[in-house]
Amino acid sequence: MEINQSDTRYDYISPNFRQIYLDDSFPNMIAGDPTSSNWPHLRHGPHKWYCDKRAGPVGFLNRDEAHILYNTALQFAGKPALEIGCFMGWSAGHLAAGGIDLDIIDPLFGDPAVKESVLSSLSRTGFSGKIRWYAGTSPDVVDRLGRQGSRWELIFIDGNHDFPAPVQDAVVCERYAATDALILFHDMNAPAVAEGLYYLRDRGWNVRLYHTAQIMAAAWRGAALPVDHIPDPKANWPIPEHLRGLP
Amino acid sequence: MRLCCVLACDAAFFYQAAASIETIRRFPLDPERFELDIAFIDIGLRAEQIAWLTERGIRLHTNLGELPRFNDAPEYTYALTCRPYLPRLLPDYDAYIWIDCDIRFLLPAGLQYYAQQLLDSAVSIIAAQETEPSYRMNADARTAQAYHSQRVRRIAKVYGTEVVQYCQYYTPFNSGLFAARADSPIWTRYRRNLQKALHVPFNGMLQQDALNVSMLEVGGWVRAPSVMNWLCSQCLPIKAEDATWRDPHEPGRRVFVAHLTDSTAAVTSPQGRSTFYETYRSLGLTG
Repeated sequence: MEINQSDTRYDYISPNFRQIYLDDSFPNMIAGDPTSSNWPHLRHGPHKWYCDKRAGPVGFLNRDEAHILYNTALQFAGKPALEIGCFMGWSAGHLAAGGIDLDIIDPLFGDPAVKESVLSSLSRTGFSGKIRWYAGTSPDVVDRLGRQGSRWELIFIDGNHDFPAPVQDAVVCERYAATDALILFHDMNAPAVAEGLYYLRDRGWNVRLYHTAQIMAAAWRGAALPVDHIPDPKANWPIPEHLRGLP
Repeated sequence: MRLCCVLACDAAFFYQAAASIETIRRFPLDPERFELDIAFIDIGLRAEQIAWLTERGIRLHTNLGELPRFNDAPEYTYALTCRPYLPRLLPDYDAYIWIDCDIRFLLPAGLQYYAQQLLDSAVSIIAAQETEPSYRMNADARTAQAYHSQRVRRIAKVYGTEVVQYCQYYTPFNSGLFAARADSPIWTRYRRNLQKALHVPFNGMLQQDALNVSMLEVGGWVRAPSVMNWLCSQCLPIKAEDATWRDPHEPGRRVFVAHLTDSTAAVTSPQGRSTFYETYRSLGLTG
């Protein structure tokens, strides 16, 4: 799974972004070999692909994608936010570093070893003060929190990527999103995930893509605004057919 | 709640529509809670048919140009493609009930059931799932094999293998009668999924597939019992002594809504050959 020394992949961060490096808080994160994953929607590009050396070939957000989270979160500092799908906490760390008040939902929190690892990593980042954890799945837990009164201004959807989960996530998130809200998606390269974005677009949200390795996207309404992003000019990312026509 | 019952057909099928509308009008809803309109999507009606509707205060929608159409499909199939567009075609209502023209409301509780469920804002859609033995396509092995294998092939062709893997063993909902609030998330997904189906060779079930894929995506549905959408060509109801219609397998169960499906199909009985519709008429299920 680990790459060999001759690998030419590199880190890229959109040059307009404020930068942060949380690597020391994730001691099990490695630059991996994306060919070790058999997920059909993983793109193999010039950027480094990170994973957890204990957890098998499941990728993290890459450096550029994590910075989309971080820089978006900075705009929402102090505001309520939700993350669906945390895995080992890499994305949560970048969101929390932006100073948001974060609810995280992931069924993996039901595994004590995973939970301990995530809590430990986030504790090391020093940004774990305003995080609440929920072991469970979307849309059920989102709906429960929403019924209890939670309304989120920033939401990151990176949960179950298989039909029909992404649309289910989008539906429940829209229901409990604040009037001014922004929803980020990871892995738009997967057609089922893209349907979640299409749902929000068809409900009147503004949408845009971020041309990263796995392709991210933002949907927003009201006064919320997405961060700008400059794609790596050296990466020749093709636009998949299912995303054609999206801005 | 401002509620709109919507039907659609061409001139040739209008006899069914008129009979259906009479059963809607026969059982008024509680005016304290519901302000009910009936609207009709005109797919080439004749002047006297339009006059019949107008005399009854039924709202007409005639602009078909704003609706999609299946590839190589006859014009009457606007009655399929119009369904996801009801909130756009007929704005200013709080909720809609789509009613196939071969639906007959047999008892007041039929329409009331759908209207009542619409009061819950958390419900995305109310429809009957084709689960019970009255839906013979599930109760009979040979019919079930044909019905579901064709459904799986259609879904694979339009939505791909991931979707079909998810729902190939799943029993669909019938789209001939359903109710949804104007603000329900179902409409946007139903439109998008129907759009995906427009470019494959036409099949009359593509629209129902689109609704079912959308329901899986959106969740939050209410499953109506089959007595609220009884497919009569699958299983004829029987008439009880009190003149109500009953499930022949469970005669204690009243049938509230009859769906006079496959009306033009031929049936053979000891009395000879006829159509389902003639059978329905002779039994008294329709006028």
